[in-house]
Amino acid sequence: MTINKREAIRYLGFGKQQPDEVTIALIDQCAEEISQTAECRHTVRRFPLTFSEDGMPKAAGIELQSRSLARNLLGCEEVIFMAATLGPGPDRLMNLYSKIQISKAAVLQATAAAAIEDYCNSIQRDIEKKINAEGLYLRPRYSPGYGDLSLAVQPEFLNVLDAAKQAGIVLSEGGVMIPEKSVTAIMGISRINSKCHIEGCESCNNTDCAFRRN
Amino acid sequence: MDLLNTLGKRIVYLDGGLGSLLQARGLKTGELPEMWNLTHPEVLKQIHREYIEAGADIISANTFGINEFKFDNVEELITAGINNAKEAVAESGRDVLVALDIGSCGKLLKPMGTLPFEDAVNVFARVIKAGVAAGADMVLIETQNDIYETKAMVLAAKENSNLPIVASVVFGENGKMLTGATPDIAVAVLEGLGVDVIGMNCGLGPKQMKGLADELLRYASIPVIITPNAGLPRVENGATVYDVGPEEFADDMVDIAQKGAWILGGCCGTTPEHIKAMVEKTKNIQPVPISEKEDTIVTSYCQSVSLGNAPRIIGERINPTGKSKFKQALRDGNMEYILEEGVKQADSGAHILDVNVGLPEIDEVSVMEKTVYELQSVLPLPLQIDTTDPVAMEHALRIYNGKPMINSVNGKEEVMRQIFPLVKKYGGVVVGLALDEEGIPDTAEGRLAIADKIYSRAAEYGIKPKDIVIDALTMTMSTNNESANITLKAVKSLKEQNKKTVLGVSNISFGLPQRELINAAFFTMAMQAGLSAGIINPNSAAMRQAYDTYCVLGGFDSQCMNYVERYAVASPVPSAAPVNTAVTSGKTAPAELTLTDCIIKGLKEPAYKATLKCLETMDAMEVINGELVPALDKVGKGFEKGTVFLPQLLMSAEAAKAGFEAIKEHVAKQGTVQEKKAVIVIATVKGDIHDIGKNIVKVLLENYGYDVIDLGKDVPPETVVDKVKETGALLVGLSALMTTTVVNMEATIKLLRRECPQCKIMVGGAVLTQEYADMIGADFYGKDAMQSVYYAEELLNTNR
Repeated sequence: MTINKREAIRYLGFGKQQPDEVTIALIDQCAEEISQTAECRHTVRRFPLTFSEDGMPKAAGIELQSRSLARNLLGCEEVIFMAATLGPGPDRLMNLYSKIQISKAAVLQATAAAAIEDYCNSIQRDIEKKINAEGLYLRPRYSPGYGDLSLAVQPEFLNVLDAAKQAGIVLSEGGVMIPEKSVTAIMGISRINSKCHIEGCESCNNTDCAFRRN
Repeated sequence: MDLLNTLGKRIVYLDGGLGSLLQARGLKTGELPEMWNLTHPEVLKQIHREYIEAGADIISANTFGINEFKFDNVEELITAGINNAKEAVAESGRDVLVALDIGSCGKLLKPMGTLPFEDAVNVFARVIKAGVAAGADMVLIETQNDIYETKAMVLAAKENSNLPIVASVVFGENGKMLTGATPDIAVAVLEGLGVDVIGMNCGLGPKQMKGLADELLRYASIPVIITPNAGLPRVENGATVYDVGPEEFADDMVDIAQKGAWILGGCCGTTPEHIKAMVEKTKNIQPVPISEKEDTIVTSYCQSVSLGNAPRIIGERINPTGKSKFKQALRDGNMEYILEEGVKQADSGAHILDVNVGLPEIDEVSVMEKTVYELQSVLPLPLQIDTTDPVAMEHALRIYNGKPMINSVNGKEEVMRQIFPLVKKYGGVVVGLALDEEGIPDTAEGRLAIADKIYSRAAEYGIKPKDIVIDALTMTMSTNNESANITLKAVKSLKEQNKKTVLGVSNISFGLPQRELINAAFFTMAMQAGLSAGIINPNSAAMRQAYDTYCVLGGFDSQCMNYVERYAVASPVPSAAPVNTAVTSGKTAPAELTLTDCIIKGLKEPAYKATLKCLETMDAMEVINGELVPALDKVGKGFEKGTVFLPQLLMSAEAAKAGFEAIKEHVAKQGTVQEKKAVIVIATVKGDIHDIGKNIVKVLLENYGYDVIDLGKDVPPETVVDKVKETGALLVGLSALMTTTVVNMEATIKLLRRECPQCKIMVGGAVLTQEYADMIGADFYGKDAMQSVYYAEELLNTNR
């Protein structure tokens, strides 16, 4: 698997600064261990998309109460729901070092966060290829809990994806996904090419885009 | 029909998929199919009848998802589900069995999730009791993703029924269960627990299952059930579809029957047509006889170790005997110390870890259970549970996630009566010590006679020879010149009988100088005599060398790969210190570095040494207030200014911790009492299960001298309040990560305000802001871990 170490460094708070040698060595080691313990799985489903009278998107029987997602999905007729995970291995690793070497736990956590983003990017790229082959376009991914889309949709969302069985992702009573490094996301399918950069809207140069999140 | 009697005489058939058939009859996405037991009994009876007509010998009642987490009326739904199936059988006139079908409860067990193991057993016990009362003919545990939850189900079934148990798990295309078990592990664990049939279902189509079926059949000594999906799932218009049609499915199932599966069925996407075609094509296949497999296998949830070929290393270091630090860690409940011992041995190449926590002044039952739980939560190595207390043994075996080694039984009748029933119930490879009421025989023949007695008494309990490993016992050379010869003769003789052996090696040198020299030579001789596993210190270079060189010379190290990897680059004599960069982070620093330098650079061992050096000329308080704390302050300020970053801050904290460790030892030696520190209680609130942030705060607060009581994660408000009352803590730190769990943080604060008004509360976590913290009534919001230190210092520290 690929892990964007630059992202891991950013998550660790270095900003644009270059970490010291010891930290870089630790990041390399953690990236290696995350790669070894991750068992990546995902599940993806495609549903027709409708909008309610107040403009809120609805798919697979789930009402997605979010103005910003509504903007993101404007003009789409279908959506992709996805859930992806690195599996339980990295969780165990983070738990171990959280108890015996907290510096490594923090770096593992940042590295794993970068790894799941990379994994989601690769899934998204594959989906995009298929969608483009149909003459359609994919919108950027948007996750429950982001912006004004409440995490309250998670149970239903994971349920329609059969995520427990297909990917081994379940929700704790507190609404936290297990394994820890799991992501759920929504991607619109549109006839119009208004796609954004795969690594997130914010990094896109098109500041006039109607779908820009910030 | 009697399932166990019929198996092996002809192929037995399970029914096929249910979900898609219900959907075709109007079940909506998201609707719970089990409700149809009450609302649409005719539909279910109709489907059952179709499967019976197709040739199924076993039909699964529609009870897969019924448990108290999803339904209030568990008994009513299960009874209705079983009754629908039984009525369909009665109407058909055929002799068909009704299975109580059980799937996952939908919650993950600890440590991955929040459900305690024993709670899971209880949830399934209720399901089993209802199924038995309703008249189910057998228990079908299926679609299992986690071997640990499967264990809970099997225990519930065994403790609440006498019905035959079929256990079927899901392997992905990588050949593993979701939580990591491979087929050999699944067989070892489930056969050990005493299921009647083992197998796999769901996840894959028949073609993808063939290789995995070979694996299951290679290890299983009990019948195997194979229940594939109708191919790999494909999503079409939002619905999952399966492409393998009845004929193709049946053709593949012919192969699977010929390989040796005794029960065949279908899972997702299969229909009565699939079952019918499969029955047609396979009914004349004679079941392949099952041979008794001789592999001695111990496992964790994700790793297996087989004994009897290449010798194995059982790490002996988790044992308080002769280790004052270890004893103190046990008295303090300091799991960190024990985990570090485990990690070091794993990094040094141990295959299995012995776990012994016997200390007269502690409650061994609870400490053993907790230690096994903590070790298996974070380490992948199988464990050897080492206790003479049968109650502690049972507690540990019950919660163990795998098939453990059990250390030990011996030839004493009373001990065999206590231990063998546990081995039979929970599964495991038991170590049999060659001693009995008469003591330890001083001849090899005497020890072999006791071994024979152990094998034959074990057989009376249904324990197979492959699940016994004999400890031929190492006696010290200084008391008997023939000690080694006697032991080696016994090992050799057992090896010739194809029996497995283990030895605690180091006892041989007791009372002699340079013990490692003798130990290593004896270890080599024992391996040459056929020893299956040595209980040794894997961190010892001499033992490691004995092992690695024997593996080369004994032909167990293919192309000398391991040897070359370990010794080619390193100096000819590897360091005696653990070769573990992970735990002992930090490079060796030049001697001239000051303690302050060591802390700022985050060098753990040098910080420890520099502290000892400081203590030669200063007293403890001077070192703390003059060196350690100022260095930490400097790093903390750098962190705030953005010149020091989180990993460096934490490495410095770890270096300082090593320094405090040195001070603690120094003070203990001098017999002076350390200054009493203020207590701070910290917790990640209920519902939240991520606690790295909270753990960071803990490490930093400890560095500043606070007695931090860490309640862990997913902590209910009442637990926090109880602990604050108990300790009189004046500060509580709460962490929450999600918007969904901040409500629990608020509830905890409210309860604390009411019950412990004197106590201040600081909060932190990804989702929090100053605004949020004010809203829920916290006294302080820490935007990062250092802020919590500053707040604590301001509030509690009047000295500095």
